[in-house]
Formats: sequence, C-alpha cells, structure tokens
Amino acid sequence: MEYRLLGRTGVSVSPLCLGTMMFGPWGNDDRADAIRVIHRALDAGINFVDTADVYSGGVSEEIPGEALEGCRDDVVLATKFFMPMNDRPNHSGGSRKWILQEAENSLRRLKTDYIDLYQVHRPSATTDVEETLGALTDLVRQGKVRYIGSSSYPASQIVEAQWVSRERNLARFVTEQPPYSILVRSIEEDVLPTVQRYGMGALVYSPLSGGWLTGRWRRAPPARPRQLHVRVPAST
Amino acid sequence: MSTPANQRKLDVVEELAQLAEKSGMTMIELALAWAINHPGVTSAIIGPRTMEQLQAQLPSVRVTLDTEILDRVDELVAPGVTLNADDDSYGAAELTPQARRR
Repeated sequence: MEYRLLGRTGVSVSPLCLGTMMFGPWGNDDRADAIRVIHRALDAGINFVDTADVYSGGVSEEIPGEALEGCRDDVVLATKFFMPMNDRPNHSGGSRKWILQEAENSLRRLKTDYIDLYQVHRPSATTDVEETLGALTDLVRQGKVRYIGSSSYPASQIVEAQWVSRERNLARFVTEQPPYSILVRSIEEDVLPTVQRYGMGALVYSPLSGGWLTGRWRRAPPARPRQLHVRVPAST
Repeated sequence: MSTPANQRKLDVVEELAQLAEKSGMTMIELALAWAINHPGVTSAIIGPRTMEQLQAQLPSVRVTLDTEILDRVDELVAPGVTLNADDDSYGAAELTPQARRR
C-alpha cells in the first residue's frame, strides 16, 4: 500500500480509509464478522479508520474499538460529534458543553485514551466556530485528541475557521471530509481548491455514491437471446 | 428513482459500467481509483458491510486511470457538476423554509 501525507500534519495514511458506518444495527450486526472485516482491511495495509458517535447509536465506535485492541497505535483513528445522539437538549451540536462530554463517551466506546482525528460532523448555523474550536483545542491540550477536522463545510466556512484559529491562537482544522464521487463533483470547484490552499487533508465520503457506482443498480440490459440452458446444470 | 436527475444518473451509470468493462476493471475499481486520483484528495472512505464488499474495493489502490478514461468520465459528468443536488448536504442549513421567506 502506498501511503500519503495527511495534509501538512506529517502523519501518513492509506488512500483508502475504512469507514465503519455499516458495522452495527444500521448494517452488519454480526460483531465477530465486522471485526474480521476490519482485521482484513488492516492486513491489506489500511491504517486509517473513520467512524462517528451517531452511527448505529454508538455501536459503530464500539466495534472498531474492540477490533483495534492491541494495534491501536498503528492506526489513525477518526471519529465525529455534532449529530443528535437523542432527543435531549444539549446532546448534539458544537457547544463546549456537549463536545467535552461526548468526547469522553467516544473515548469509552472506542476503548482508547486518545482520538487521532476528531471531526465536527456538520457546520453549525447557531454556534460560533470559536466556541467549537476552543473546546477542541482544550481536548488537544489534554492529550485526548491529536488533530481536529471538519465535515461538509462549505469553502467559506473552511476559510472562516482557519482565520479564527489563527486570530485566537487555537488549534486549526487539518482535514475536511466532503462528499465526492463521479456523480457528485461539486467540491472540485471550491472546497477542494480551498482545502489544498490551506494544506489540509481531504478524506472524501461516499466515493461509490451510496451504492450507485457498485454496478448493482443498472437499467435492464437490452434484450438478448434467452440462454436459459446455460444456467441449467447438465443432467446426469 | 423516477426523478429526471435520477434517470440521468442511471444513464451515466450505464455508460460508466461499459467504460469500466472496456477498460478491464470493475465499476467499483474505476470509481474509487478516480476519487483518490484527484491531487486534492488524501483518502476515499469506503464503507463495506461485508467481507465480499471489502475485497471488491481493495484492488482500487493499484488501478491507474489513463487520460482516455479520465476524458470519458469528464464527458459523462463535467468537472464540478453534481448530477442530483440532493446528493450532497451543502445548503441544507441555509436553504431552510424560513430563509426562503416562508
């Protein structure tokens, strides 16, 4: 596997990052099987794993947590906060109150004492990015988080966050996680050039566009001569 | 699935399937290699549910795409274009009903 530098951090990651959203009740609920898939990915050279607190209500963090016991330090482990974990007020978003609480929950589910990359799942329309960056900076200084990043930020908010970090002497987002596939190319115009300009890494999600690019969804093939006989085993 | 944007996507997917086949790779390999080929992209996040799905995705790191393939992809979906605006989350927080005077 060829490794690539994650922005200007000096950390090397594989060009495929293993997302674990499909492990747990949302997808494959067989833990042992999910762990085998993770171990196979690591054996193939993948050293980058991404999850989020919200996927499968936290199970998607617990499964890699279990799978990585014994090799945690060899993996760049990324997770996210922001999406509502339940209906209660303050159990979502980018506030200092929620971030410091939810980081502890993620650490527990991931069975680790540090997160390599802690990402804001979505930009907030109601919270100052300075509040969010301030709380994340404290997590970095406490040694609980190595790097911080954003997800689905438009270019203007990527720029704003970089400027706030510089002006307030806070940790800066070193990665952005945007959607990207052959069918979804809007980031090529603005987000990707901005990310490159700031020396950030880009881990792109849905590169198969939610299954559209797997070959599973095709129009009915054009009419062909029926060749049913080839499917019927020869009689003995 | 019946919306014009999704119908257009189905047409493009059909063309991509043929391009992949002609180029001796699977559509999964084409799509993943294409994503990690952009100079601004560090990694593409795969989300396998099964071992079989993972195995189909791993070979993409060894696939190289020649100019002819890249040109054909750009012909099918122009650079910067998202075929169905619902497929990304940009504007979700901005284009709310209140912001649209409702």
